[in-house]
Amino acid sequence: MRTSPPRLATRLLVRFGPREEFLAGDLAERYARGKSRAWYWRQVLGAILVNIAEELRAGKAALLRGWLSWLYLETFWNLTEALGVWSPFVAFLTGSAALRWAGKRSYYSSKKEFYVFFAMKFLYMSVVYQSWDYYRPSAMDVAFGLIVLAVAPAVFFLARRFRRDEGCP
Amino acid sequence: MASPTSLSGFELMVMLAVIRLGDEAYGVPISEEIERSTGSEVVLGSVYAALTRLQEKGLVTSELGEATSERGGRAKKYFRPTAKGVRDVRDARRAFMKLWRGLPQIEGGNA
Repeated sequence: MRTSPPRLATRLLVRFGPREEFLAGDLAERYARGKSRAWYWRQVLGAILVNIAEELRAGKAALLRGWLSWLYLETFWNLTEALGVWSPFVAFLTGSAALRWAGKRSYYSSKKEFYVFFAMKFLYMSVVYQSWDYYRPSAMDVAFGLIVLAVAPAVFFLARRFRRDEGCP
Repeated sequence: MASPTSLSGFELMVMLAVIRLGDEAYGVPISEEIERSTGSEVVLGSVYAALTRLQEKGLVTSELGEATSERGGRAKKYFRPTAKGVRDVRDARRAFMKLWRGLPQIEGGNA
């Protein structure tokens, strides 16, 4: 019997391929019966690509919700900035509510994007404005922040109930 | 007649391989059967993706099999066609036969 299949390829398959072990078992069986290393690598890379496509197919609705919440976040940010009522605090609260509305799957996947988005915005502002001194909170900003603070608990409560109804942890 | 589930060309091939193999239908023989018929290499990952879709449509069922050392101690997953699956394949065949009938380019073998 031949030696075990390429370790790196098998690790990649386990990490990025389908969760079930049957595919890895089938590949090992065919490799043991004489298939080449090149064949094994082709199969592993093919399986990873197919798995990504299948995940996208299964998560289409979640992706759409995530994209919509993302669109909301960007629009909100630009709008408040244009109106002069922008503040990181307000954007963070409403953004969190939007991401929670998006539901479990897209919430968790969007959360990373959310932080990257903030990090990039902060970096951009630091470079463009050189400092944060340009920002002066207006009365309208404070009022808007207070409204959001008042509404946020209700939004979070509803979002939690929605997630519980969906069977999310 | 109940409306048949829509089957893609590849899903139909996988279904036919599962029916043909009977009790021995798991990933390896299914992919070998398709490779023998088409003459080209098949990505096992796409076979499993098709089988998952067929299972979601209620056309096949699956059960766990034995694990062997050749497979690195990993179990096999056997597939069986359901009655609905066999019926849908029969309907697909009927539809294809109707479409193929009376096409001289195909019957004569001249492109």
